Amino acid sequence: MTTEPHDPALDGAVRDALRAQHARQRVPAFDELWSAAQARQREESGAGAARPAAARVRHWPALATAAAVALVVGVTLIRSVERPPEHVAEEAHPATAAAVEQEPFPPPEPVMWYAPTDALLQIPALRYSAQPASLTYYDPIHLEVRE
Amino acid sequence: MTQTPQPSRQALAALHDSAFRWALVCCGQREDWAREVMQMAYLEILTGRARFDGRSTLKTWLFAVVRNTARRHAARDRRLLTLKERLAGGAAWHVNGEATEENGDAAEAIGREQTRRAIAAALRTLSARQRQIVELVYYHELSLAEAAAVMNVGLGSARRHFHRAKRTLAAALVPVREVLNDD
Repeated sequence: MTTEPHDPALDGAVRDALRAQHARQRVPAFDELWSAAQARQREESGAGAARPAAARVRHWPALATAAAVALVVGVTLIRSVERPPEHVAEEAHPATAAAVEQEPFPPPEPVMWYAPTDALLQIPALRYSAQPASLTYYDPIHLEVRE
Repeated sequence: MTQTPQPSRQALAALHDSAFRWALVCCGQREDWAREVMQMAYLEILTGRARFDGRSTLKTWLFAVVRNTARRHAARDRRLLTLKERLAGGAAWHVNGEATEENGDAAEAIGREQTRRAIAAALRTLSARQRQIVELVYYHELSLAEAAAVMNVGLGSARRHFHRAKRTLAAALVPVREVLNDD
């Protein structure tokens, strides 16, 4: 960049013109503008203190709506996880579906408290192996003593 | 780290005159707008949104606060300018880079008063930044570095604006000087 020669006459003329221009301007008092700024500051702080309460009043319907929507969505999600649709369970796990229809623990067989049947006693091993050494033995079926 | 305390009311009052004149330049010589800008600048200081960090002189810092406030104010109120005002040109905010189109007839200027008029007319032809840097250097007697800090531009940019402004002003004075020399 080329440096221009110093021109004191130009500098003096510009300063003189600017001073003359500024001399015609009216400058308001400092206290006037400062007080106005302080008043604005008080307004701002007052509005700032009142804003949270006003915001709560203004926003509570929106908050309530959002909470209700969140509740419905949450309940729907939980229910869908706990109980899947039936058609999904049947298609994906037929064995599981069949098992659901059966009793998980069927009642136990009744205790065989009664004596063996005649057919059972026809088996020779059973008939004679239980015979006592004596000549008589107890016939549990016919409840008679045989010689 | 210790924070530099905010400037006192007395210190600001001592700079009020020159700060308001600077606000006038930033507001295109509109007094009502300059008052509004000064109030808002003081509000920025009162609320602490503008903090003096001690890295520059108080005058440089205050001028920068005024200029930044004027820029924000201009951006907010630009849409409020009517088409008539824009066409008239006189109400344009100089900080937006809108220079007035008025050209002074320097050839008619004779003597001291005529020189003033020629300079005043030439000042109106300068761009916003050129006008601001001329004000800061010639009237408020800041250095080029301080003026650059106020305008938030680099020193090279500030020097460039200043020399272009001086060239324009010197050209405006040529007819006046010729007339004076002829006399």
